[in-house]
Amino acid sequence: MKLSSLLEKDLILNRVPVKNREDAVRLSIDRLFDKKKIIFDKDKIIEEINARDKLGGTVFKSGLAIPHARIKEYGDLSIVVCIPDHPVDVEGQPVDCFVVMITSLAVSNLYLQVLAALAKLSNDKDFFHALTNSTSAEAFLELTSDKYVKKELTVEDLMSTDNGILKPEMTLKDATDIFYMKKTSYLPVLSEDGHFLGELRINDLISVGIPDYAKMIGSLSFLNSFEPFEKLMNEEDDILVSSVMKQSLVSLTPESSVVEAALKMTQGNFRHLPVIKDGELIGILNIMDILNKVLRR
Amino acid sequence: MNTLMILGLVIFVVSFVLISSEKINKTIIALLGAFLFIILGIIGQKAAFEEIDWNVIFLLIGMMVIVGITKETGVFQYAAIKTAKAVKGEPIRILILFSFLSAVFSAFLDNVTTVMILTPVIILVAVELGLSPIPFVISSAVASNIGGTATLIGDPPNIMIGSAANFGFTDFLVNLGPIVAVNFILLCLIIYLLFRKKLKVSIERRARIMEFDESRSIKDKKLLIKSMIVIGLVVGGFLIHDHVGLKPATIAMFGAALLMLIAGGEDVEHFFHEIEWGTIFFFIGLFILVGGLVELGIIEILSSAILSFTEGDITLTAELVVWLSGIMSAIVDNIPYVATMIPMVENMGHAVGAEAVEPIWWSLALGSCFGGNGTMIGASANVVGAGIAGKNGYKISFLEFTKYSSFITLITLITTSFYVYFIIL
Repeated sequence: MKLSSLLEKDLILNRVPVKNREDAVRLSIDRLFDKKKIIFDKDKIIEEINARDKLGGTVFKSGLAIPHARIKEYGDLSIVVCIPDHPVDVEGQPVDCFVVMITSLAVSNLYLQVLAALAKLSNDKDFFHALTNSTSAEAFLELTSDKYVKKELTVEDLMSTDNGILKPEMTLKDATDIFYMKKTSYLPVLSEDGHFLGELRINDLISVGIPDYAKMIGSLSFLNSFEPFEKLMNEEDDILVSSVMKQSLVSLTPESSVVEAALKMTQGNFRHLPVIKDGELIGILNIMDILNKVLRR
Repeated sequence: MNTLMILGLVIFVVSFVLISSEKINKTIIALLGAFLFIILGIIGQKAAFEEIDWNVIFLLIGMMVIVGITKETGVFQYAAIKTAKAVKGEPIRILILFSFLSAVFSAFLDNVTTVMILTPVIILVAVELGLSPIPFVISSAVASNIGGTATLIGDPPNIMIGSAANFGFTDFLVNLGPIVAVNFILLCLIIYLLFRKKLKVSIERRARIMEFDESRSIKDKKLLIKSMIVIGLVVGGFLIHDHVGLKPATIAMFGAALLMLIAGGEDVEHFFHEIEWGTIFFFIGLFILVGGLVELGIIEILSSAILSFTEGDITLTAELVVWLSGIMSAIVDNIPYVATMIPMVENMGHAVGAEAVEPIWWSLALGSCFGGNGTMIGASANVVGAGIAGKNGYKISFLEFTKYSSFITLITLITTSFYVYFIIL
């Protein structure tokens, strides 16, 4: 779907004088009510937008801000673009472009895809610069005419690609250090030439410290002075990642849908899943990505 | 012998060998063989399904559910820790008392269940004492096989024999209890002589055992009370079932249903997970296989061969059965062995009278239960115990295990011979 077909000429405000975020929102909503027959209470909508902004996460480093609200029974997706005549400071971040959106309460796929597309476009510095310097609505639409909104939001849009990695010949000491430094609970294991071999979860690492018989007893509550990490501490220099890593039985592809990812993660109780294409690791999906980028966006 | 008999015998022997080799899952083999028998027309489907001994199946299922629920309470760990503390962490006493616990538990639980519950705790205690867990693990497995012999529900061969010969719970206790007690005492003596010098630990190590707080191993006190009430009722029921005309299977299944109800029976599937369906279907397959052999007349040929070899002398036959069962159980799985022997003894009963073969039943029970200790692979409890030790880094080789266990088996079979000769006959 073309991004431009979701936008309307009348709802693009170019180079308007705006002092702050509230101005931009007010201006955008005024224009929306001006051009469309909207039966909802204007102040209530602005209130909702402000409340959502307080939760954070609506301003990007690229200079894009997306004040938005979900209104019960709104029944449509309205997008107003507001480009201030000079960058506006929002929470210390200069913003070159506001995209104000209103949608219905039900999670609309389209809305999330528009967000994802905008976020992606804003990361292209040259394009974003041209966009925010466009002088008319027509020019703005012209620039976005070859930009598409993906039909469906996929794992590729949510995953992160800057994760720590392990090599099979590393020791558990190395692995523990990387877990600690990266503040993560999941690390993929890659071969020398970058092939995905398996994964190490923090649970598997800590499990090394607990002897098998203890696991069979099931509960060690009767022990007061057991030192479970004795073994781990003593042997972390000798145990290799390759001997404790697990085959990745559940994984995602970049094309996997969000609902597929959510199902796999909740069914298997995973916090992280590798995203794999042709045997290569291309990213990791954290269940928090679903919270941050789908449920609260 | 006709072709069908030869075909049936070949399928049976191949199944038997495959089951004992444990290369392929034994339940699958038993079921394949059983239904091949039906497909080939060796036994009709109706007759085959009637061969399934529901006394055995329901007794096993009932006990599995009761034990499965009870074991969640942590009461067995509680008993083990309490025992270790009661003797102040003195290792040789712990060794003997853990063997005693294994024997007592396995008189009421399945031997494998006993070993799976106790071995991890035993290893923990040994490690805390700074000792090798190996003598503890071997003694416990061997003791569980001896203890399991004492009761109707202690060992699967007994369950089958009890149902076939119509022996009740108390019959087993009265007839087999004494020799089990004697053999257990001998086991303790042997353990004491073998290990007493090797097991020396410091005061500090012993103090670590005393630090254990066994009361915290009880995970669910309310469930424990409910379980104990039901187990009490079931054991009471076992003691009187003959007098009220009920089979043990009915008592066990009723107990299981009652416990499921009072343990919060909303989600029955959860309780039914405790049933080892593999074992249940293994029995089902075996009953059909053996039923096929009976149908073919092979069992009759074999049993008359034994009787003609012993010239119908019950004493000689009983002694032969003790030793044959002992040796066979050390090599092959004793469950299919006993399943095959049962119709043979029944046939002998037709020839010489049901009363006269009663000693043969006891010989079969004693020989096959004690014989399991002959080698490490002779009894599932041995394999499981050694397996758990191995997974924790204490590898027990076939020879090391068998060195101890075969010596004990030899002694138990000798005492059994005398017992059968002087007491049972």
